[in-house]
Amino acid sequence: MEVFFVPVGDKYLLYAPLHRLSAVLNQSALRSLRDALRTNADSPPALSAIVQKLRDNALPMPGARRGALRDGLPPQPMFLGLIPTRGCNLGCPYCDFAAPKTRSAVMDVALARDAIDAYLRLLAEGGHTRGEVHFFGGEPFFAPRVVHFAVEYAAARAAAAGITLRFEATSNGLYSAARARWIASRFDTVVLSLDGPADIQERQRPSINGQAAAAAVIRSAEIFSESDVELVLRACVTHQSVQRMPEIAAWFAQKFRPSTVCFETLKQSPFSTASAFLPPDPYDFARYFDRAAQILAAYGIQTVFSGADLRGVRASFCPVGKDALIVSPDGAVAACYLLEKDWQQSGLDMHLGWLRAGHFALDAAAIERARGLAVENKPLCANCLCRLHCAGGCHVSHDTARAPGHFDEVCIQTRLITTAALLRQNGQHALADAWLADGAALHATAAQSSDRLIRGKR
Amino acid sequence: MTLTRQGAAVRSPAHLRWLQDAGQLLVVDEKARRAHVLRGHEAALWTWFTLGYSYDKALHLLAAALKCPPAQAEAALRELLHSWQTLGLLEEARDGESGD
Repeated sequence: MEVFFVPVGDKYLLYAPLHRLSAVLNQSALRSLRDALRTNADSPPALSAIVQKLRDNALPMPGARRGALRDGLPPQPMFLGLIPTRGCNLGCPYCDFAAPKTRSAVMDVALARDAIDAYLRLLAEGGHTRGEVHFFGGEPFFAPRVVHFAVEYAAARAAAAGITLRFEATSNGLYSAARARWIASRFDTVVLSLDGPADIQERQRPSINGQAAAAAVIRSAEIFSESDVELVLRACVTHQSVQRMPEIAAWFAQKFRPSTVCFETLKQSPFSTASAFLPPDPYDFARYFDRAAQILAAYGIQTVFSGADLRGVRASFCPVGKDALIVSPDGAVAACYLLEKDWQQSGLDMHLGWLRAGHFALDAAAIERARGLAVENKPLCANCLCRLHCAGGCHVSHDTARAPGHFDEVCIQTRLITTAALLRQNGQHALADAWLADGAALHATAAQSSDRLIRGKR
Repeated sequence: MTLTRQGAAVRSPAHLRWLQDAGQLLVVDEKARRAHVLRGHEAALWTWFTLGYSYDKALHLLAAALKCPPAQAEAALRELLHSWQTLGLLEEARDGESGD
C-alpha cells in the first residue's frame, strides 16, 4: 500500500499518491489511521472518509514499461529525439558536458531524414496519429541546418501520412531574432535555459568566446513569450543564486510568459568546482523554491523541480525506460540523451542500437534493460514518499543503489519541496511557513528513513 | 526573400505575406487578394529560402528530402521556381532590391 507520512513540526503529513490523497493529522489520528488500515477495524468517525478512500481502488502502480516489441521495435516510442550536434555556443563554467564545444560532429541531414522516416513508419504501423520530435544537444540550434531541415521535412512527411507531430527543443536561446521567430512559429514547446536576470546569466552562462550573451537569450525569451509556443524556463540554481530565487521568479513572471518555470540545482562536477560554483544548500533551496513557487503561482505559472513534480506519478524520472529513441549524430540510438561516457561511469548502458539503411536496428535486450531502470528497482527509494514523483532522479547522476533511506542532498531537497507543495495544496500555509522556518523540523522531515505508514506492506 | 542563381536574382514581391498553418504554408498575395497553399516539400523549400538559405544550400536540402541526386533535385527545384514565378510568388529582382 503506497501510503506515507512525514513529520511536519508536531503534526504529520499523510500522503497516498495513488489515491491522490494528502492530509495533515496529529499523532493520535495518525496512530488510529495506522491501526484501522492494519486491522481493517472500524476507524474513528473523524477519519472514516480517509480510511474509506484508502481502502478504495487506487490508481495503478506505475511500473516499468512493458508490452511486446513488434519486429524488435517498441510499438509506441515516447518520442523521437534528435541530437543535431553535441557542440554548443555557450561556455557555462559549471557545464560538465564533456563534448567539444565547436568540434563536435554535426548530424548529416540524410541521417535526420532517415530517423524521421523510420519513426513515422513505426507510428503508422502502430496505428498512431500523434508523435513527438524532441531536439537535444549540446545546443541543437548550433547546427541550425539540421533543425531547419528536420522540422520542415518531418512536418511535410507527417502531414502526408495523417500524423500530427509536436516539436520540442531544449535550447540555450543564443541566436538571432530571426531564428528565434522561426522557432516560435514551428515549435510547440521550447525549454529555455535562463538562469536569471542579466548579471546572473552573464556570470553563469557566458558565450563560448567569453562575450556577453544574456541580451540575445533574453530577446529569444521575449520572442517566445509573444508567440504561441509553450515556453518553459529552466534555471540552474547555485549557492550564489539560491537566495535570489524569489527575485528570479518575479522577474520571469513580469518579463516573460512561461507556462512553467523549472528550478534545478547545479550538479557538482570538477568543472563547476574549479570555477567556484557549488550546489546550493538543500535546505536553502527548498525554502527559496517554496517562496519562488508562491510568487509564480500568483501569475498562474507552474513551478517545477524535476524530482518533485506532483502533476502525475511515474516509474522513471525521465524518458529512459519509456521507449524514447534518441538518435546521435553518428546514428547511434540510445534511451538517454547524455553522453555515453557518462552512462559508463555510472555502470549503465543506455545504447539501444543503430539507425542503419533507413531503419532502426535495435537490440531487444537493450530495450528491456532500459525499461528495467524503474523506481521499483531502486533500493534507496523503497520507503520514500517521493518515490512515485522523483522515481529516483537521474539514472546516470543519482546513485540509488544504496540502502533504503540513506538520503543524500538531492533526496533532501526533493523530500522538502514535495512536503511543502503538499502542505500548500492542503491550504496549510501557516503550518508550511512555520515548518520551513524551523531548521530542526525540516531536518526531522528530511531524515526520516522510512515514510511508509505500514511497514512491510507494499 | 531573395535568391540568386548564376547571377540572376528573384525575390518575393513586397505584397506577399506568408504564415505557417497546420501541415501547410499559406502565401497571401495582398495585392491580388489571393492565397496560395504550399504543402510538403514545396512548403519546406519556401521556408528554407525565407530562412536565408542560398540556392545551392536549399538544393542540397531538397535533394536530401527527395532522396535523389542533386542533378535530379535541381530539375525539380527549377520547375518549382518557374511555377512560383508564374503564380506571382517570385519576380525578377533588379540590382539592390529585395522584397523583404
